[in-house]
Amino acid sequence: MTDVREDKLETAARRLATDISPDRDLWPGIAETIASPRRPRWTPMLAQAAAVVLLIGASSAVTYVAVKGQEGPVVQVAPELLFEQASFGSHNLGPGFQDARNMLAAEFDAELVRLAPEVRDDVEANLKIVRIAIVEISQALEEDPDNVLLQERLLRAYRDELSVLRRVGGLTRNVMMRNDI
Amino acid sequence: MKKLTLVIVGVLFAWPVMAGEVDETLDAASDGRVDISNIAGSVTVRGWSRDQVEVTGTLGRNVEKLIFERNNNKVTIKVKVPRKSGRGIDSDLHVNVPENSSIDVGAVSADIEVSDVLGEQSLQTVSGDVITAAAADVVAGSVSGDVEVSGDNSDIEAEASTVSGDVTLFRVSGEVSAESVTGDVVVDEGSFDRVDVGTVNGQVLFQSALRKDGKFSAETVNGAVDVEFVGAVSAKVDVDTINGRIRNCFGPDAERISKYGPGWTLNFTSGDGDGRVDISTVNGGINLCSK
Amino acid sequence: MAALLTANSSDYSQKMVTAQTDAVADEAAWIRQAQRSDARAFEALYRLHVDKVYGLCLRMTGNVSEAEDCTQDAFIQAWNKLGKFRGDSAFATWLHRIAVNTVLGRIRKSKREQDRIQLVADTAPMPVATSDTGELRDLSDAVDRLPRGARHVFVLHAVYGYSHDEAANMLGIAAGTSKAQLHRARKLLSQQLKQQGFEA
Repeated sequence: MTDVREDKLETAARRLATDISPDRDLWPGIAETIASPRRPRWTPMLAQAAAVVLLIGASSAVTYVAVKGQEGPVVQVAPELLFEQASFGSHNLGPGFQDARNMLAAEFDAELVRLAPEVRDDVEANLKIVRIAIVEISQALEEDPDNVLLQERLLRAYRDELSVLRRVGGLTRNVMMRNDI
Repeated sequence: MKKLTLVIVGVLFAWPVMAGEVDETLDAASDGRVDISNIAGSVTVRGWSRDQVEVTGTLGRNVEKLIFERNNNKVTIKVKVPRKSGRGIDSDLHVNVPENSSIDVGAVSADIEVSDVLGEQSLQTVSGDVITAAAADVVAGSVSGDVEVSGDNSDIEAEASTVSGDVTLFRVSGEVSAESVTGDVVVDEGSFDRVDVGTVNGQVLFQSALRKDGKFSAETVNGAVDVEFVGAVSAKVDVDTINGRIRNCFGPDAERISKYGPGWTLNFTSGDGDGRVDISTVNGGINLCSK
Repeated sequence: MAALLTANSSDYSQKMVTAQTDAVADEAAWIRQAQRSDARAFEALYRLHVDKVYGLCLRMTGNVSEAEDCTQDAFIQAWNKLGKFRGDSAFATWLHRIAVNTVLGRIRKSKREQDRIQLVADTAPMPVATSDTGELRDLSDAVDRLPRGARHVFVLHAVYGYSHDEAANMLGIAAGTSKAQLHRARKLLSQQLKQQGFEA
């Protein structure tokens, strides 16, 4: 009985698909790495620290340093300029956004110093991930500026950054201050 | 007789009063509010049928005191620590509350676990997991840790979020919003009027029903989205990726956004189209089905 | 319509045979060019082999995210090691070895670094979207859920048809261990599928 079932298992296993197409085209990631072997690997899926885009600082004050290509120009972009870049068509990240971000940023910076080191590292790592996404999408947009989908994604990426700032800011203080007696 | 006395004296001295142990009870409103603050350690809350709040557990050696008091309908439990608190403040609190209470738990470096509480819940920690069973509106959040909300499929508003960790909603129904940055979002066995879920690096897995006129939105930056609607879907469906395939088991096939790029898009109306389904990724495949 | 299809399909299969013969000849040329650092030739090799490599990675890891990374890593490794490919095995087999090494390497790395993303990926496999349907799908899902060691052996031996010796060699284990793992896999799968009324 067991043998019969195991044989059926063997037969069925041989029929399982061995060729499976990936959901997305994996070649670009490979091409980029083999083209410039000395550049650290850029893997968007894990968004590990990439030398392609180096983000300095983990507080709300961020300097984006975008390295384009192995020998290409080093572009230093301040957050305000990046926000300006995200103002297109009917979408606008104007001064209102800046003010909101500044407010959240202040709370966030104050909270950062209160966090335990491991948590602070965690938050910084995650903020980095969100910012890498912002730069990735910005770069894609540069090559395809009229892409409405990319424009929407960029705006949502900025919103994601704000969301992290908002969710983390003031947490510890709120707990400590509660019903302070 | 002498021997007995000696034994009793021995016992008294063997158990010095432990300033750290807590065992206190207060009468409380049957459906009032209980606020709990604990900087570090753990907070476990259970609903029970008594009209009392009972706190048991241990306080860290450097804890100043436990504030435990009632003001009409509100009971406050707070672990008071020195301003410059460092070590020795870890406290484990077990709190029993009247089951119809609504609770508000705030912690920094502590896990929060709640069960059998029928009222509204607001649970927030910074470093730790939040696990709860919810029968009414719930807001559950962490920064470094997982958030798990299970329900009884009664309609509630649930908001669950973390920055580094997974968010899991199980048998929750009504309206839900769930987000993470690094981590997965899983929503299973529910039935919804509104769903707003997303993560930056991670997957979204959804296997629940979307009701008529329901609004569903799921997005990731880097990660796959797997949506299985239980039952039919009546909505305007818009799905897109910048880099990733779209597979759907109902509706037309997805189309390439451009001949040269790796993005796909899928736009169609299912059923009467009274609801909305929006799914998008930057890098990630999307599976969409309705069974 | 049916007649048209039949006529076309015989043309098609003829074309396929021709295409396959051409492909074999082409592959040898592409390998030579790629060994001289021709990235376009390597891309052709990629297009030819990616489905099998991805399939292998996916079945071995049971997770889409991991499989995508594994596939990319494997091809990058292959590019770096092209000079060492002598042609005494089929290129596909050579690629598969690299893919298996990549999977194992990532497991070792994740154990060392305790990378949370890696751990989450490994313990919470996402249902794999393959072209398997019905019972094969059930089997596919059950394979994804096997414990790691048993899964690796089952995929290489039972799905991809490598002998115990070959599979053991690729996985860096003894042939006896490979047989034991296969036995374990079969037992677990039988139990799992019996519950679902599996009838092959």
